[in-house]
Amino acid sequence: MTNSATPTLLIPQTRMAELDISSVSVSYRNHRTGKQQDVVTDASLEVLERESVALVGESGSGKSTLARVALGVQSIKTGEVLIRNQSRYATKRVTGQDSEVMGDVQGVFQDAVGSLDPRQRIDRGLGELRRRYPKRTEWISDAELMEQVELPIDLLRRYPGQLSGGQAQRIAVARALVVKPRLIVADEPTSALDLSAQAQVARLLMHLRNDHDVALLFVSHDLALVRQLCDRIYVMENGRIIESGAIETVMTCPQSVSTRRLIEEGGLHEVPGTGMNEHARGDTPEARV
Amino acid sequence: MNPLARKVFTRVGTGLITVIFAATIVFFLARVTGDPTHQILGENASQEAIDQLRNQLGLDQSIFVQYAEFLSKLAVGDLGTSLRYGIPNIELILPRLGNSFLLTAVAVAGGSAIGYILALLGATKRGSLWDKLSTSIAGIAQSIPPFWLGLVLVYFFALRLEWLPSGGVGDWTHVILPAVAIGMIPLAYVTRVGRTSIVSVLAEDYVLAARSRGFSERQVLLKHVLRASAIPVVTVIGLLTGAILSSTVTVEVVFSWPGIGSLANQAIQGRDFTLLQAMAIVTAVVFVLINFIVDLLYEVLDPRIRTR
Repeated sequence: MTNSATPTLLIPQTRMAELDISSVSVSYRNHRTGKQQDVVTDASLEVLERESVALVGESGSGKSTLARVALGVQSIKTGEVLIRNQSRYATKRVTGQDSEVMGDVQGVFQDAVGSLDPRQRIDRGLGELRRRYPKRTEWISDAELMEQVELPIDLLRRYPGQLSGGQAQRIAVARALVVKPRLIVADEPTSALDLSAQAQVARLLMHLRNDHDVALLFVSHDLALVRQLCDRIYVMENGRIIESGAIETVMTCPQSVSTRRLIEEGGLHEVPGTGMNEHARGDTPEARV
Repeated sequence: MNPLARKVFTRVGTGLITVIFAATIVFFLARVTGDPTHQILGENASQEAIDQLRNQLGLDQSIFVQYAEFLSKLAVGDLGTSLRYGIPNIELILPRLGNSFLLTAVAVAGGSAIGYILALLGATKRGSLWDKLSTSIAGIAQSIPPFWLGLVLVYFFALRLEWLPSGGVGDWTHVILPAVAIGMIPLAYVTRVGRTSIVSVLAEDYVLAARSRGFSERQVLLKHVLRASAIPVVTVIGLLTGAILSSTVTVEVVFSWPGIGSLANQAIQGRDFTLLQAMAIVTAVVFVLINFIVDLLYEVLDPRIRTR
């Protein structure tokens, strides 16, 4: 189900798609029955240059699986995934041999501390990325990067376990940013954080979108934050995309029962510390960090 | 005191306490299990002979005097003289220990390396034929008694094919067959423990995150998975090294390998209790050293341990 105000009418046609997922299905083997079970069915999704797109849905709806497809770490059964018109894979898992394509898309995960190697100091992790992408990462020094994510430079010598959840999430964003990605896939990056850390990470994501022209695929069930950060929204239920469209249109005039329920449950509260009210959009000057 | 000096001091202190504790247990066990002179001279020995030997060994003194003398000798590295051979125990033990080290090192290094490769294959290709094959090999390796495998190896490779020597010490070819027989133990354990450990690390979020950052599967395995999964494997290897070093008597007998196991066998048969006592103390020292190396390896594999 697609709202009348379709994304293609809102976005100028000259903008290239950073990510184009078309008719993708993903299935897992059910260990009890031994049969393949679809967790994502015939899903299509597009994120254009400098666009922020939300992917929402209840737990188990398949949104994190689709995020992993976008990141190239999830096998797909059918369909196609294009990164800037280049095929990411047909039906095989990507192994990272294509440096440019893999650097274009970076991920930020829900469990920030868990997404960083506990045995690797923060500066060593950044160094590893610099060796992997020597050209892409030369635009910024570690010190400047820490400034971008509003963290003191001495945290670079720490291990992930020595960071708070909010600090770890900002380090995770820094690790994504250092590669100068064109698209960041953020899979519930604020849901495991306290309110203050949520606000810091939300501000950081807005900053990336506004000042670094990074497109964002934002997976969340926090509709208030989604409304502040994103231009368009896709709603998933039972592995299918059931609704999509411009954020204001879907939020004010939801077509499906599931979307209505999400909006009712999600509320429209302001995310503290973002400097935005519930109707504000991220592209207003005062929203910038 | 700086942290490194404190760490070294603590480790050396703990090691010394362990060795003294082990030596004390050995000392008292040798005495509470009966009068060694009866064991040495036999049941029909005259009282005069027994008294003479007791005097010679210092057993006629109070146990506390004996213990003090034992510790003071131990402090200067004097492990006594063999009753059977009449030469210092340390001169008997050290060459044998060298042989046992060589055999154990080759067996543990080879078995563990093959075991870890099998573990990696099984874990990265879960449910595949490789996985089943590696699990089966580990099962077979675990269930074959090393002395029996030793006999089979001697029969085929030494007697039938005449490719390798059947026993004794000489050039590098002499170590192959006994090392293969013993190496099945670390191969089995490392395959099982390594597979479980690698599977568990592969499921960690940071491995998924590393893949998503564009690192190849090989890079992810080398930089994030192998190091993290090696800690339980190193623990097992450390435990096995000590156990193998001090318990390869049957394989040493099969291959006529002059190691510490066969020396212990000779000491038991010859009722040489001072030699046995010295061997137990040397074994304790070896265990302490192995634990020290394992602790150092932990710090290399997991730098967080250094910062604690």
